[in-house]
Amino acid sequence: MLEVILFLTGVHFMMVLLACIYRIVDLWYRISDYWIGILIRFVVVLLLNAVVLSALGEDGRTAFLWGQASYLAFHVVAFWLTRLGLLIVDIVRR
Amino acid sequence: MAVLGLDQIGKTEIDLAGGKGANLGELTALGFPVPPGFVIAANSYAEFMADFDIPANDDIEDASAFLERIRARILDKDIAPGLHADIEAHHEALAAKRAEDIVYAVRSSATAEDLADASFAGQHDTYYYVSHDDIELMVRKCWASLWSEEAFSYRHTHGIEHRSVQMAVVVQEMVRSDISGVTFTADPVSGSDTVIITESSWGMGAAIVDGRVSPDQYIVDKENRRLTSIKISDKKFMVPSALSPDQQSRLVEVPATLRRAESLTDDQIDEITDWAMKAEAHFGGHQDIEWAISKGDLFLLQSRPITVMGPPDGNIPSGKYVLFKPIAENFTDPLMPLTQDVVDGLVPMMEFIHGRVYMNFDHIRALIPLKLSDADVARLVYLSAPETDKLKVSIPRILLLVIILYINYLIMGVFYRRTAYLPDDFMSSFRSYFEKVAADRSIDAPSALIHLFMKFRFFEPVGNMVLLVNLAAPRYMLLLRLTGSLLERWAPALPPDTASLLCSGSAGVLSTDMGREILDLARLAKSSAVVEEALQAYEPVEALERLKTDEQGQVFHEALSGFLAKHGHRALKEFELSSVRWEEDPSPVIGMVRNYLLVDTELDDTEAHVTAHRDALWQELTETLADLPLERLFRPRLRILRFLVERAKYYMKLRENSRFYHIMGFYAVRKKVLELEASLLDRQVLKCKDDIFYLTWKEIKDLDNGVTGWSDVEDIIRTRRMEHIRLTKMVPPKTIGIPFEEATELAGSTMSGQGASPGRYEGVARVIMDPATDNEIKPGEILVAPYTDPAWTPLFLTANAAVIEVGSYLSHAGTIAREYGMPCVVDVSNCTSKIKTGERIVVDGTHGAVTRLEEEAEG
Repeated sequence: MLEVILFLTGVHFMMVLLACIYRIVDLWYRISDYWIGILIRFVVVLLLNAVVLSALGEDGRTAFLWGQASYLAFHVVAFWLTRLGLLIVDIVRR
Repeated sequence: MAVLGLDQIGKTEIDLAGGKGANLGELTALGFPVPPGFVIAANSYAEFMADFDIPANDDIEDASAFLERIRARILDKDIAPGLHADIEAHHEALAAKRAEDIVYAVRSSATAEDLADASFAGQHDTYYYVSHDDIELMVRKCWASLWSEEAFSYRHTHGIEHRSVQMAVVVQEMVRSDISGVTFTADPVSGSDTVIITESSWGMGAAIVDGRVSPDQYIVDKENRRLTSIKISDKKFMVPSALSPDQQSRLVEVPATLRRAESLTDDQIDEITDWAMKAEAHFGGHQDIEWAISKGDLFLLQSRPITVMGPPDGNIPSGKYVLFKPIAENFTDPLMPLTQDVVDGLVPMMEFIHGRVYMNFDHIRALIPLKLSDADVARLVYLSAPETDKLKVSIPRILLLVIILYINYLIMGVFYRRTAYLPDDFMSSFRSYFEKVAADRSIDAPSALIHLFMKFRFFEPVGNMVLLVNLAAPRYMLLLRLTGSLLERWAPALPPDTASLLCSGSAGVLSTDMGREILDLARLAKSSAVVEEALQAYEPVEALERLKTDEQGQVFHEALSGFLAKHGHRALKEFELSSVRWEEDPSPVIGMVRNYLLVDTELDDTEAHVTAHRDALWQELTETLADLPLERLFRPRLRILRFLVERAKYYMKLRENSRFYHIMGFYAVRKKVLELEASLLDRQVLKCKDDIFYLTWKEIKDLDNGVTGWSDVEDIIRTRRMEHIRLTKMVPPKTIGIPFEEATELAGSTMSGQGASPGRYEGVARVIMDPATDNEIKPGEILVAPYTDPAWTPLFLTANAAVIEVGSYLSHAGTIAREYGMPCVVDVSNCTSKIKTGERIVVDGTHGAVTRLEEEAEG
């Protein structure tokens, strides 16, 4: 049960980390105004990640990291599947 | 007898004169003002067709070829000498009474036509501007129209034997009408027989009958003959009573000064109503009457039974559906066929029924974890409030909902986080993306929608995903509810609408900024006597033309161009592709500026007042919370509330601003459609502007590629245009397949709705159905409208309260009313027909009630 919770926590942490990375893209048009805030966020999230990992035992760490990796894979696959689906919709409509 | 004068025919002689002829004959005999004329009897047709050997219905094999042969033969064959002589004699008799040459209207009058249960209206031809020399040719053309594909198909569907139908032809002096129209002695859409509905426009009646023009509409109460409703339309086109020699099309543009002018006077409405009632009384059934006014004289052209009563029954899919309110609250008209086709399939769980967007109820019901009846679920979905107070939970559905919500969280979680803390201008990159897609000729209209709303690169800035941003914004409601609950717990003495008031007043909301910018244009106009006078004295197009040559006018032009560069993609009914955008025609913007010039509205005062009220509320809240534990020391509750309020305001702004941009996406699609339309008009594959919106995308592509031609789409366009007009008059049911009772009246004179902006206000009502044609509202009045979208925003600046027929808390009306601090009640059924302009009403935005004071006093 603890491992499930840690897995799901890993999923959530990866979401937060991805959102931080995307923030660079989202605020690129005003990067000179926002780069410090972006950097601080990124560092805080990484630090939190590191703290959690260091506080966990081996099994817990594995579950947490699997959660993060799984979500990263899911995110990439979901994006490309969505693009494929929309491409199919576009072709069918033509 | 081959030819009869109209004064020789009675209503029972349908077999001889056809339905139209018999009715006109009857009207003539009774003294109705019918233009004189004569009828070529049906037996003349029978004699003419005697040697055609028409087979029985079942024996006709290749219908198209058969019909083509018959029509060609009818047009080739000469009329019998006896008939020719009769026609000449009747013409001479009429011509003798006129100083100038007579021009005729030649109308078909089938013997089965105009019967109450089988109408061929519009399927048999009518010809106008017929000279004496062309009478016989047009008579043969009317006979030939009995054998058109449409008429043939109609008879076949209704089991009418083709050989049995006869055709009489009415040849009547053509009224060179200045005004023409149609009057119904019952509402053909709702079936109500307590009203008389008259529709009128300039010039000849063909433009109305053909659906080319939106006519003015006058509704008279049958019992007391009082005019209960007037709707003045923007009458862009007319068929003139006289054609100029070089005129290619019968349709011409109406002069600017007449477009929005009332076509009928009160006396004319009374006269038309009187004759309509007489026709109904005589014929003993509801009548559909065509009439014309020439040099002040009224003529009745036709009177026939209304054959289509009540809402359309066909084409409703089986199943259960609920009207999709986020679209319906922005405009209540049906979408055009092209818009439906382009958008269809892109929105899951939605279907188009009678041109409106409905949600598939069964899909939604599966997600709601409460044990409610279908009607309660429908009410919850439509109004966000079931009638039942005690809610029972369904455990299996909760589990399903939790799973679905978690999947949604996995898919959208990153996106929700990305949109959580962004500056106001993060979506401004969408504009260059829109321009790029609009200019890219390799992207067609439907693909443009996908490109703009759904096709994004892996590292696409979230500002380019405006539709998804819009979907992420409803977190606002959750935050508002949470704020309300905490206020109730911590500060129960404060008014119940405190949460709403605190959550309003966001800076940077583009639609409120738009209202301010229009006011700035008005201030600029007012600062110059030349500009102010031009805008008030002339129609918008002419005013702007005149201002081009004046120095101050050029300054105004520049300011207007700046406004249009930012807001030019907006329009009334923005989701509709056929809606003309402000960039294409800035007349509505000038209309709004003109409205401000007529009144003294100081927005700064209004905003200062609202801000002061909000600040006072925060002060009061701070003082109330101060007595709670730890509050003076750390202010935890105040901080939590400030955080929740700021977040709520942020998401509300996200919703409004994302909508600003996704409307821009629709404009890109429109641009592509217009490009194609120009090409098709140029090649004469389409004949009239805006007809393209009645076709599906496939039909348009087939036209473009030469697979089909004008003759293949002409009837389709006409049929869909008439159907669209009919659907426009129909109030869409909120549910289909689910019994749904409207909210009951609270008391006789009080109407209930949903409170969208708190406060109470008593004042004079101003009912506005279309701000493009009627946007005069005085300060202090209460706006009463069928729906609103951002184009209505300037009216909110002048009004002191608002009552909206279709809307929700999150609708444009609710959002803007809260921004301006004015009471607003939405979802008030039939408010635009029950409330009259000039009536005193009380708007209670806190409790969602509207009270009519005069009715209350009378009661």
